[in-house]
Amino acid sequence: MPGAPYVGELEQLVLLAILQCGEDAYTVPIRRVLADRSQRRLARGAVYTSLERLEAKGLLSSRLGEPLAIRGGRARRYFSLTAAGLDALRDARQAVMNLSRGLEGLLDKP
Amino acid sequence: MSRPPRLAARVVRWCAARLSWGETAFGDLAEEHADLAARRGALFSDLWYWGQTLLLSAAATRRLGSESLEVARTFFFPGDRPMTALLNEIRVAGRALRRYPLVTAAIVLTLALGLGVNAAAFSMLDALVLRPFSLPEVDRLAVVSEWSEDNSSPHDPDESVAPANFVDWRSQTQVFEHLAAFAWWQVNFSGGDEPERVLGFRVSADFFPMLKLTPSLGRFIGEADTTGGPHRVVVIGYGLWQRRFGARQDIVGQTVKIDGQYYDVIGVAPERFDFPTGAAVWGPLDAGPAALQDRRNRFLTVLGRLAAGRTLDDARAEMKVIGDRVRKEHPVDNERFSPHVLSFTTGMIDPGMEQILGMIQIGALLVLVIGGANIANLLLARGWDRRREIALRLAIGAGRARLLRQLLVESAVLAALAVPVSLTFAWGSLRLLKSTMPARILPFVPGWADIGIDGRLMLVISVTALLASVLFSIVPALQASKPNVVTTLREGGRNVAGGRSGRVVRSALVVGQMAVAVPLLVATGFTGSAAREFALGPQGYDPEGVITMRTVLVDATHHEAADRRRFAEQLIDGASRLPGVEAAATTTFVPSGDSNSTRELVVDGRPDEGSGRRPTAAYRAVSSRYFETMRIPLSEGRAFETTDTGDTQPVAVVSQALAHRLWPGEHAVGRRLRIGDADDKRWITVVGVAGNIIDDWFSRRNGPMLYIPMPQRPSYIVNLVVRAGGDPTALSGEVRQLLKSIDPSQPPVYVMTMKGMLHERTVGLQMIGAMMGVLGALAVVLAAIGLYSLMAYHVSQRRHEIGVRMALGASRATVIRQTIRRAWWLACVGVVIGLVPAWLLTGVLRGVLFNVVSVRPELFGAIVVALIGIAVVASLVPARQASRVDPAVALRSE
Repeated sequence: MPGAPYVGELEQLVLLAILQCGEDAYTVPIRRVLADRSQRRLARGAVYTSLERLEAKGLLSSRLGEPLAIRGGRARRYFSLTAAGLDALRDARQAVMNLSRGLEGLLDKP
Repeated sequence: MSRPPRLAARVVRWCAARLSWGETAFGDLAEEHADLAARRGALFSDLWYWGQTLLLSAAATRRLGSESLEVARTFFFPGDRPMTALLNEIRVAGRALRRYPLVTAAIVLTLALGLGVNAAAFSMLDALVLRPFSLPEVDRLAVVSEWSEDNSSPHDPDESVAPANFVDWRSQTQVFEHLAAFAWWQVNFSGGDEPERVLGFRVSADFFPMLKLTPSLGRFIGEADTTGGPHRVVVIGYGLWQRRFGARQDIVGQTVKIDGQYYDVIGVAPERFDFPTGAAVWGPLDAGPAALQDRRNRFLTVLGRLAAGRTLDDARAEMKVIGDRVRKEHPVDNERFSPHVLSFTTGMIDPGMEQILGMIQIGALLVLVIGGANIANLLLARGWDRRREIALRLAIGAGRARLLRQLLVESAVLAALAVPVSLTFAWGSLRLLKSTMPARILPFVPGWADIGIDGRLMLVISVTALLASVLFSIVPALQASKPNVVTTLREGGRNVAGGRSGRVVRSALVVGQMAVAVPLLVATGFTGSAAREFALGPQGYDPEGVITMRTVLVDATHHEAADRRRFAEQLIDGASRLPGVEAAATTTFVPSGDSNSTRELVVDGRPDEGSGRRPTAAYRAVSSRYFETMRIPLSEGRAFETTDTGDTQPVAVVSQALAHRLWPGEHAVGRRLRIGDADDKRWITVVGVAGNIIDDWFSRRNGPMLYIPMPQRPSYIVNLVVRAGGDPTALSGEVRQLLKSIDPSQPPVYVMTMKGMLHERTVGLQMIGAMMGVLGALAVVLAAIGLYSLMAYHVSQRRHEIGVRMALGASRATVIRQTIRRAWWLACVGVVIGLVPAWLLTGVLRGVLFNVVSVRPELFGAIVVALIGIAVVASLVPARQASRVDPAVALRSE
């Protein structure tokens, strides 16, 4: 059993979305990437709660930007993956790959 | 940058404070809203934001709900599944209510009556005051008027702005996206078949764009139609198009004849659009050079639509600046005038409407409160009857919360039963009310068609019903749920008169009912007597047996004074020859009509104060037999003769009020006066003084009036008045025929009896009187029932005591006297308390009802005597029952 904590499916998607956003990873683009690429409608609250949980588990770190007028005076919170976060994502991906080996004919979309 | 809708943002902020990720959500929503607004427009993004707000508030209330619901649930339903427990509770409540069917029926009926009058009142308030205009985004519209600073009378924002001032405002305003003006333009409309009189308005180019409307056909009036005119183009109303032109699709481009001139139809208004006040024709406002210079004649009504993000206060501030600037540039005509900004609804509904309907709504609420006291009393009485049941339940371990809950559920069930009954009641009374409104008045009451039962009303009444039933049952429920278990069970359920605190509460309720009924009855009495006086009281003329027909000549055909005089004389001659006619005459305006005309006067021998400072009087050009036809008595001098013509000395008859104002304490006959700005500077000699008349019930009662012989100043407006020996309505066909035979192109504006005219003019006041009458009657009946039931219960609870007293020698008369004295005493206390608010109310009433209400002490006296009398009568039956107590039976039932 690897050392990184287990992450659920939604959490995996959120971590991946943060990586996709790169430097600009705050809540608005994260949700947009999730919506565009996962083709799923995720409740606003579900995404925010996942981010909170991931940070609590030590898989994410975050910093606050400057307060902005366009956000009604609120600051953006930028997220990035910690080393543990990246490990957890690798483990999860490895697990999926291991389990799907030999099933390509069934799982690949025609 | 676009900001989220303010209210929604407040909701989001409220939610954000309750969610751990709330602040992030708030910022994200603002940012995404701005982005959407840039890409998809403000409307879309606002709607989106509202949707998100709902989702978010659902999340927040789930979070909040799960905490507070848990608290409530454990209080009310410990260990139960809430829905099952609630259904169970409703079943139990139903059983309890069925056990006392009469009490239940009485409560439901009382509640339904109280709610019904409130539903009817609210429906009117909602339709006529809260949202009378079904125009797009009506809350962004405003009325701009010009008021004279030194004029203390109530301001009517209609027809108050001079054209040149309007043009200046429009060119300078930033706050208003559109500023539009319109002017009254009633026309003789022909094209299609018979000519008819149609209400129209001349409007500026901004009028239709400001209202955000699209035409059913063709186009609206635009900038090109108003500049460099006159352009003879019109937009016609949807109804007129359907009715007169059979909804012909090719109507645009056709020609119609208006006031003898040809006009091109350029468009058809949207269906149901008849703003302002039932308009059916809209033409371009004259923007010729003369009009653009005119700062003296204030006849325009000006409306504006606020630009995005601007408020009424912004508009007020800006119009003050612009007004000051215009006054500085044109000081002579604007010396005392300044612009004022009102909300659209306030500015466009009749002054007084808010207060009158507000008064009726308050009256209805008072009736509900009086009825509520009865309900509380019934529940209290029943609570005492159920003492044993309740004590038993407590004894075997039911919690007080649980009992309370059951009693509250019972009252909610009562409310649910009462609501449909009350809505039916309201529906019936509103139908009755609507059927009594004369059709000719309808267009002048915006929103009248929308009076009725709708979803909004049902919601308001359901909420009111629930609140009322909980409110009225809370005290009885608290009382009933705290009996002393041991004593109650031991006593076998009998307690002397239901306990002291219960007795005090119940007496206080009855005293409160009486106190509330007094101001309500005072309002009823005053409005009722005002309505009676003005509809049926002396008018100064005799409306009985008179029929009148109005027609308006147009310049194109009757430019010459001689032509107008000949037309009037032909009409009088013809009418006089009709069978059954006693006398016929013409006037410019009949009393109780919807129009008036005034003149400034200069008195011989006194300095001319100049325009705006001269005395004024209502002005009527009447033919020689007018006073005889209307039976207006002359107190001095003579009436007009056929010899008073254009070639003889100018003469006048003045009303007593005018004579008194101009020559107090002196004879008016022989004095001379002249009309202010008239071209004819000859002196007019007063030859007679006529009695005062009530020309209009709320603004022109017994006012100064100047009569001039019609042949000396023939007018365009001709009102034929005919006195019939018998029923005047029989003449209506013949009078119409007469007009047609003289000039087939001349439409009658109306043919009506003077009684009908008076009825139309006073119908509003009569309706108010009738509605207040219903409320007053209900208040009295409910208060009487309250007192009766209190005394009946009082007697039934004290049978034993009365029996003992009678056994000890008290006579039946003594028992009766004691019971009545108690009722009398309660009523007196209540009435005395009620006199204080009633006295304060009279001042308010005078203001609300245009000072037509006179404070009469005898009315107060009558109400006091009546209420106390009713209280005594209501206690007679219980008193007789008390006196019939058989001491032997009462004592044996121990």
